[in-house]
Amino acid sequence: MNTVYVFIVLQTLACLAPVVVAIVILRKLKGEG
Amino acid sequence: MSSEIIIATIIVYFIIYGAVGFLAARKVRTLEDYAVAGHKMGIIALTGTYFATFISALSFLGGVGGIYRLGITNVVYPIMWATGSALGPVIAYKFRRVLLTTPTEFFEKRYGSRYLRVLIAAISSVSLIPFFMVQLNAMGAVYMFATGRSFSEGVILGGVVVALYTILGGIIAVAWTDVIQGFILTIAAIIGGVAVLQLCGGLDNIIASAATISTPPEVGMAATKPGSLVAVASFLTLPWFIAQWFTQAPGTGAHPQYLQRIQAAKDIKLSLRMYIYSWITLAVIYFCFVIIGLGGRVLVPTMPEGFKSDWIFPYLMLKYMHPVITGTVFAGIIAAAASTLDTQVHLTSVFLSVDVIRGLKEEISERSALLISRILTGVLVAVGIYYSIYPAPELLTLGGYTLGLMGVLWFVPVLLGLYWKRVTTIGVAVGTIAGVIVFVVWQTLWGFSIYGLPPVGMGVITSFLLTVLISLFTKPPPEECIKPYFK
Repeated sequence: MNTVYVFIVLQTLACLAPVVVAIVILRKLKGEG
Repeated sequence: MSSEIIIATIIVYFIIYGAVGFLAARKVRTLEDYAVAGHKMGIIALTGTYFATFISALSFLGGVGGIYRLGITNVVYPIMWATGSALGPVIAYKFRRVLLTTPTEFFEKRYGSRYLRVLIAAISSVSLIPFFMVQLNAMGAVYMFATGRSFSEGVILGGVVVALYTILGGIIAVAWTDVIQGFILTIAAIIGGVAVLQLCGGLDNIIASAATISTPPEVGMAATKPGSLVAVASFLTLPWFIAQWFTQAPGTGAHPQYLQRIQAAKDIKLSLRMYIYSWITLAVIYFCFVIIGLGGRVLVPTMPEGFKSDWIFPYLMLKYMHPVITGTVFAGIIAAAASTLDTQVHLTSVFLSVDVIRGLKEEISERSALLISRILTGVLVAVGIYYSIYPAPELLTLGGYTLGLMGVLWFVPVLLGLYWKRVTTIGVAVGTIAGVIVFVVWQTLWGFSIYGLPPVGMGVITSFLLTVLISLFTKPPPEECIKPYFK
C-alpha cells in the first residue's frame, strides 16, 4: 500500500482514538447509572 | 485581487464577534459565569470552542507548511496530539465530579493546599503569555498578507476585538465566537482541500507528481530528494517518535484550556461528547491539511522568493481562487488565531485574578475578582500587542517552552490525583517543581542533544518518579479531599 495512504489512515485512526475512549467512558457511565 | 473585499470580509467577522460579546455579557452575572459559564455550557458551544481552540494559526499555517516542506511524514505531529488527547476523556470522567471555578482549583480541592494552587496558577500564567503573543503575531501577519496593510494595524485590530468580546462575555463569549470561528476555519480547510484536489486531478495524481519533485521548497533551502515527499522520512524512528510524543502529547492531553471546558460543560456526559464531535471534525480538517500541503507542493514546487513555505495555503488561495473564497479562507486563518488567543487570554486572566490574587488575599469579594479579571484581560492583550509590535527575543524563546511547561505542570498531578488515592500534597509540590526545573535546565542547556532525550519527557518522568516516591513516605491529604474523586 502507498505510504501516503498508510499515513492518512494512521492519522485518521489517531484522530478517532479520543472518540473511541470517550464512547467507552460514556458507556461505562451509562452502566453506572 | 481586491484587498477591499478581504478587508470587508474580515471586518464583517470582527463586527459579528463584537456583537456576540455584547450578547454574552448579558449572561455573565457571577465570577463562575465568567470563568466556566456557570457549568451550564451546551454541546454546540463546547464542541466549537474545543476544536477551534485546538486548531491555532500555527497548525493552520505551520501544519500545512510542514507537509509542503517535509512531505507526508509530517502527519506524525497530529498523530501525537490526537493520541495525547485520548487522555482527555479519561481525565474528564473524574475531573468533572467536583465543580471548580478554575482548573487550578483542583490543586486546592484534591490536595488541600491553597499555596500549591497559587504556585501552579502563577507558573501557568507566565508560560501562557508568550504563546498568545504568537497568535497575535499570526493575526497581524495574515492581515498584512491579505490586505497589503501594516502588520501593526492587524495586531491592534485583532487584539482589540478579541479583548473586547472576552472582557464583556468571558468564556461564554469566547465559546460562541469560537463556534463561529470553528465553522469558518472548517469551511476554509474543506474549500482548500477540495480546490487543491480538483486543481491536481485527484489524490493519486498528487502522490505521483509529488514523488518526482526535486526542487527546494523555499529559495535558498536544500533541494528535495525525489520520492522523499511520499516516503517515510529518515528521521522517523521509534526512539524519535517516543521522544517527540513525550514532548507533544502530555501538554496537549492535560492542557488547562481543555480542563476548563470540561468544567464548563453542563454535565460529565456533555464533556465526553465534546471530545467525540470535536475529534471527528479534526479528522476531516487534518485530512484536508494533507491534501493542501502535498497538492500545494505539486502546484507550486518552490515558493516564490520572499515567501515562506508556511504561507503555501493562503498563497494558493490568492493564486487560484475567487476573491470571496480567498477572503473566507483568510478569515478562517484569522479565526484560528483568534479562537486560540481568546481562550488563552481568558484563562490567564482567570488564573491571575481568581487563583493568584484572590488566593493570596481571601478578603477580595467575588465581584471585585470579576472586575480584576476583566481588567487583567485588557492589560494582557495590551502587553501582547506591544510585544508583538516590538518583539522581545527572550519572550519568544519562552513561548517555545509553553506546551512543555503545561505538560510538566498538569499531566502528572492531574492524572495521579484522579486515579491514585495515595498521592500527597508534598509529593506533588516537590515533583512538579523538580519537573519544571529539570525541563527548563535540560531544554536550555542540552535540548535534544543527549541521545535524543526530550526535555519535556525528562521533566514529566522526573515529576512522576518524585511525586510517587515522596507520596509513599508522606502523609496523604485529608479524606474529604480524596473522597469526591474516588466514590
